[in-house]
Amino acid sequence: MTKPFRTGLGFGLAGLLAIALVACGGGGDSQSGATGGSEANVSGKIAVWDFEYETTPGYTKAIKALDAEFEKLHPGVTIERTAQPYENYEAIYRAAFTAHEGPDIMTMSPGQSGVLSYKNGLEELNDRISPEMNESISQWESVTPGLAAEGPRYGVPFGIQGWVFYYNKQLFAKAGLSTSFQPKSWGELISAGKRLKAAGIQPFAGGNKEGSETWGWFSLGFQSANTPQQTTELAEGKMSYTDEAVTKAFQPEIETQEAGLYPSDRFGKTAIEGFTQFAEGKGAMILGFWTTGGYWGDFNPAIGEKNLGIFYPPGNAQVGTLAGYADSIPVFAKNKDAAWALIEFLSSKKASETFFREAGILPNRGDVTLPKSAPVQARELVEASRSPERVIAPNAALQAAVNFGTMPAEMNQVLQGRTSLEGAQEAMQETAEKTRVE
Amino acid sequence: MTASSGAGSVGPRTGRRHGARHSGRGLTRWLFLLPALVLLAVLIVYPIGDAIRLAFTSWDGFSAPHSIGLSNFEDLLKDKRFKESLLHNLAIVVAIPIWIAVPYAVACGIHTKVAGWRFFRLVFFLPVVLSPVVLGAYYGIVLAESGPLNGALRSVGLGGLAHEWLNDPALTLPVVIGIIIWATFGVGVLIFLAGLANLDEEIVEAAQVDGASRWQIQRHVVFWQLLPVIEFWTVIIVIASFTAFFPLIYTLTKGGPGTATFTVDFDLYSEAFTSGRLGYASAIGVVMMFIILVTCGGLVALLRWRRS
Repeated sequence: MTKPFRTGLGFGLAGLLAIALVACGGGGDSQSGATGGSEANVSGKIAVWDFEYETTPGYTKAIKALDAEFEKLHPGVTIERTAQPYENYEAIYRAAFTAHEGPDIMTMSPGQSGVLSYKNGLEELNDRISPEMNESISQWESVTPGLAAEGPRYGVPFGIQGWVFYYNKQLFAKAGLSTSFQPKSWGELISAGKRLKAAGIQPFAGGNKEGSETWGWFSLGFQSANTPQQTTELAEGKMSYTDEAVTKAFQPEIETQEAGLYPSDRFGKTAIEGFTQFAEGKGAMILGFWTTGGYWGDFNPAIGEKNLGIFYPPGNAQVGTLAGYADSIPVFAKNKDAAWALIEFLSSKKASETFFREAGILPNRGDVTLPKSAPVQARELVEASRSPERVIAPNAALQAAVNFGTMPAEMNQVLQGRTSLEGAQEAMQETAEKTRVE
Repeated sequence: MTASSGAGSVGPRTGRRHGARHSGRGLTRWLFLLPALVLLAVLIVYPIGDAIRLAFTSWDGFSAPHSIGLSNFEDLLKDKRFKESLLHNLAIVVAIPIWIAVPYAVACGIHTKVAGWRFFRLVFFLPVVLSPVVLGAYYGIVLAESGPLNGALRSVGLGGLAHEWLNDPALTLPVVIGIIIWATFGVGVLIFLAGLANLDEEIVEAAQVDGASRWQIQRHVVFWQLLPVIEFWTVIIVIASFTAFFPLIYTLTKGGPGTATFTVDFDLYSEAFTSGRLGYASAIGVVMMFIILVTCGGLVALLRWRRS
């Protein structure tokens, strides 16, 4: 063997090691197992992968209690719940799908960028879902292709999530603004921001280092300017990301940024840092979540329940929500019947009450009534979620690669004036075309 | 004749015995090598072969991969993000002279046993033992807009030098390259120190007798003797620049701002695990392998040509 050849072979092996990264596993056919759960089959170990477990204290407390109760109800069952990091869960889950090996239940994000992007590796659950369950639970669109109300279900939705604006009433009063604020147009919101600024108050708190605020602004902007039908078209790939409807959706955030209503270091701070800033009274408004993190449960103890206001995006009366999570059964699950029994148990009325009590997770069951002692914001949001104006939140229509990759990366550049919105939309469309899950 | 026939009769017998012993030793060697070869085949050769096969397929990880010929490679040629990532890797490779010069100079300093050389050797090696994830998280805090570095600059009246180090597309890649060099140059120092310890002192002394200055000795004697070490270090850097810094970039910038710090391995990860295009990601891996081969081969050839 000549020296150059040996050298070349050495380099070759070193380089090839790099591509071995993607070679773990191999192609294989997905196969569905038996369906139709019965109590007799509820035994053995149920392995669960959960990205919220051990991350959110309230959720962890609730789920531990519920798992223990389930095990008590089914003496032959052991639940092995594994905390998976949210930041990398899609990589971990995808590795499991390619290897055809993994847990019996996967906790997923809702919508196109979560559960629906893995639908080809998940059990269709319609045969297991009882008419009672179908009726009492909302947010089914989050787990149904095309975000449709009816169709194959690839998970069971839990909780209610969405984006909403929170504001500090004291700071609003200080700037001479109404403490029952609900703008009728985006222009009115920007005017209020300018008035706060003139009074020496930071209008918006926030951190958009990861680009997650843009998901919220996009969702509220799209919902405010467009129809639910257009959300479906975007989800189904019938609407291009270069469409005017998408352009309109980004405008409110761009205008708010251009008006200087955000802190100058917004793109160097994370969303969590932004929430902390708001809780410390260092900003009069913030784009927050309905539940779990960066929500009323975090802000009330810091600035007071009476001092925390909520307002919805202007434009129309629609209220956009999606599920907080979805629990799904992968096709390779070994203990499907027991897994389904656990999912059914966790979506029960009692479990929903426990989730709200311990973790502030808003119930997506119509038969759950919040206690009178529940914070006013929680009651208001639950009521809004049950109104006829409720629609699926448009960010549920975003494909994973657009949602987690192209959109935050491109829009952060647009918002800082480095690239054009048109270019960003073209990049999103290009990604969408390459990664659409059929 | 007799002798000849005798020799002829003995020779083959001895040869057979020798041959049997030889083939016995050969078999023993192979038996010793077998476990390692099996591991190599199962853990390296097979996955690599499979990755090459997948590069010619479309595969989402759920259904079976189906062959699409050269489509992935044709798409790569048109892929703006891949080209941009490749340019970022090349920028890292272009910094090789710094990558060599800094550890070389530090190693020479330590080799002369300057005061406190043991301490410096330890200090310079320290970053190498830190995980890239720790380094990424650490510099993410230090270089934040309101982080300690900008705070220190402002506190001494140098606020004009404070920047958004990790949010300025023009700055972030050089910052990342700087951190990568800092994080790895300790290995370079150790390698060069080992090279310096093996210098032929007689040649150095001969040069001194001939009246060569320290600079001349360094340039005409030490440098040329260390050229094989430089060659080795260059190859290591090139391979590492394409394959080793993903964890650092992931934790420090996540490829941002925008795609300003996307590298080829980051792009590969993103295509495989965010976009679910495993066949395409494999094609990126195959192309990356050939780029590493060509770059390393070219650099080694260049250094050897200079040496000759």
